[in-house]
Amino acid sequence: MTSQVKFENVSKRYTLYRKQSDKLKEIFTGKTNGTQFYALRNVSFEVPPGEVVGIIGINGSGKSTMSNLLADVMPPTHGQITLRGKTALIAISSGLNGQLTGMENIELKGLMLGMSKEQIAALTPEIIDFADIGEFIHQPVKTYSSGMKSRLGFAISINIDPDILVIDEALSVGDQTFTDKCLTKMNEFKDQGKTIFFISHSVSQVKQFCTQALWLEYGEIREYGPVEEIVGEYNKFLKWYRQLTKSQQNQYKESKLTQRTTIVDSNDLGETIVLPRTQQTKEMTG
Amino acid sequence: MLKAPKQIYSEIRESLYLILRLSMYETKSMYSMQYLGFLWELVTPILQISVYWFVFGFGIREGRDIDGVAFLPWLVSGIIVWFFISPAITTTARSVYSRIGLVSKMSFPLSTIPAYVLLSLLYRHFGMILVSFVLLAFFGYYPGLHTFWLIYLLISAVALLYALALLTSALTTIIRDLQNLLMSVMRMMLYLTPIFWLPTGWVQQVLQLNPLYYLVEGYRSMFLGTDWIVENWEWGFYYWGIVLILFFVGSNVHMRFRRYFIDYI
Repeated sequence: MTSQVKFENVSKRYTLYRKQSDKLKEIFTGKTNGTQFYALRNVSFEVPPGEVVGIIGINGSGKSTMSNLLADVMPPTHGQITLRGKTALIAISSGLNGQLTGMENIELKGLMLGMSKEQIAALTPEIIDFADIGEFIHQPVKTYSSGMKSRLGFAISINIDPDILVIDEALSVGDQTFTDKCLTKMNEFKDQGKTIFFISHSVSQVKQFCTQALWLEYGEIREYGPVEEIVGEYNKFLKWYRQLTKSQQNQYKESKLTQRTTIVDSNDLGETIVLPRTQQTKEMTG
Repeated sequence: MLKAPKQIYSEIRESLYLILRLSMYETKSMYSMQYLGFLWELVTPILQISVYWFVFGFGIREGRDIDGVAFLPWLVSGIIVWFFISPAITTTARSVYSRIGLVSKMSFPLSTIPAYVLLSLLYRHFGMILVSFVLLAFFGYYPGLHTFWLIYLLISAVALLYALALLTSALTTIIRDLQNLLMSVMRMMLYLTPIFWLPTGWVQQVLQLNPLYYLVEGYRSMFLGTDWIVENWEWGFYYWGIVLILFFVGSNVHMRFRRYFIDYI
């Protein structure tokens, strides 16, 4: 069984500089002067095609970094990520250009994703239809409401026929009808055997929609498995965490933090490998 | 070491359509808020030229000509390329870090960003060249065979500016302060190139080391129909040598830091 997404000892490190000049020193000398902070540390997992993986965890556990790595927006510091097929990231800040109209943004975004003129032309009607924002499609995006913006962003990302879809808290802005529309579309994707990552704070949404869950805690995988099981555990953890006093919570965080700033002993330069989609998924998508 | 220039070259070649479209959107989003839009790009330089002419030509030079050319056409023929070079250098330097947020994939060829920003500035340069032809015709300098030098000069200017942009856009992404430095340097350069005055003697020899000197005098020679470019053929070689060195250094720096750009914003 080939996996659609594979993380092998993936770490993403940020250096926390105290002074701006430390950054400069690092560039020239190669020696780091600041604290090393691992947003993700030695993460390994594998996802077969057709799974819907909910990524859960409290604030600061590395969910956003995970979504950026999955969407191939940034490279990992160490380790190897293998993605089979095209990924699309759906996030609230969808990177639309406010000065340009909706139509122009569709083309711009398509170009930025490396699509050809013909591909973009073929997809445009579908995107307009899905976004369903009427005449506003010919107006500058800066005049849009936040709901309209996210609908357009969502419509673009979902219609480029991705093999891997990463949804980062995006469903929380639309109204119920649009959310339903998205859920329908995502279920369609699920049936086509595409892999979806669903990053959300809403445990109930994860439980309703996902098949697997990946629980991140302070940059590491705490647990990964069938959704029922993991969500149950996670809820238990949340309950336990909430009943702690403020100082106990801080103590817990503190103990995790030392582990998070421990340097990973690795000299390899992380990379993301994007493989062409398999024949199998191609057949499935028709 | 030669791998980086080769890769940049092939990226640009494969992304020509992308660069063209993105440069058009760049231009469009620049003017979308204004009623006169593109017209401002012509009005502002014309106003600037009239003030410079008043201060330097009328005030300081008291109406004397330079090398037998009246001051106004002499000024216009030299300053037009400056109105392209100066914003091009400062805008392309910040092109990568200000636009990397729009790039949705790591596989996006980042070397196209300075290219399309540069191209978007080239459009208004074309507009200004047209206006200059009209203006200079009033002074009796008509286009002719010498006008074909424009093709060579445009290629030269774009090559230099892109090579420089590769370097500055990479460095500015890492060290933002360079942006301020570049702006100050460009402000000084306006007076250190033969735009308002013609240096002589050893001063001229030193100032000519600046490749922008060659461009300004080249444009002037093209507009006024002199033989400056041909007479200074060795400076042409010098110019292209600088371009090649800059492209080599710029592409290596760009490729070396490319994967970290996203971490620096």
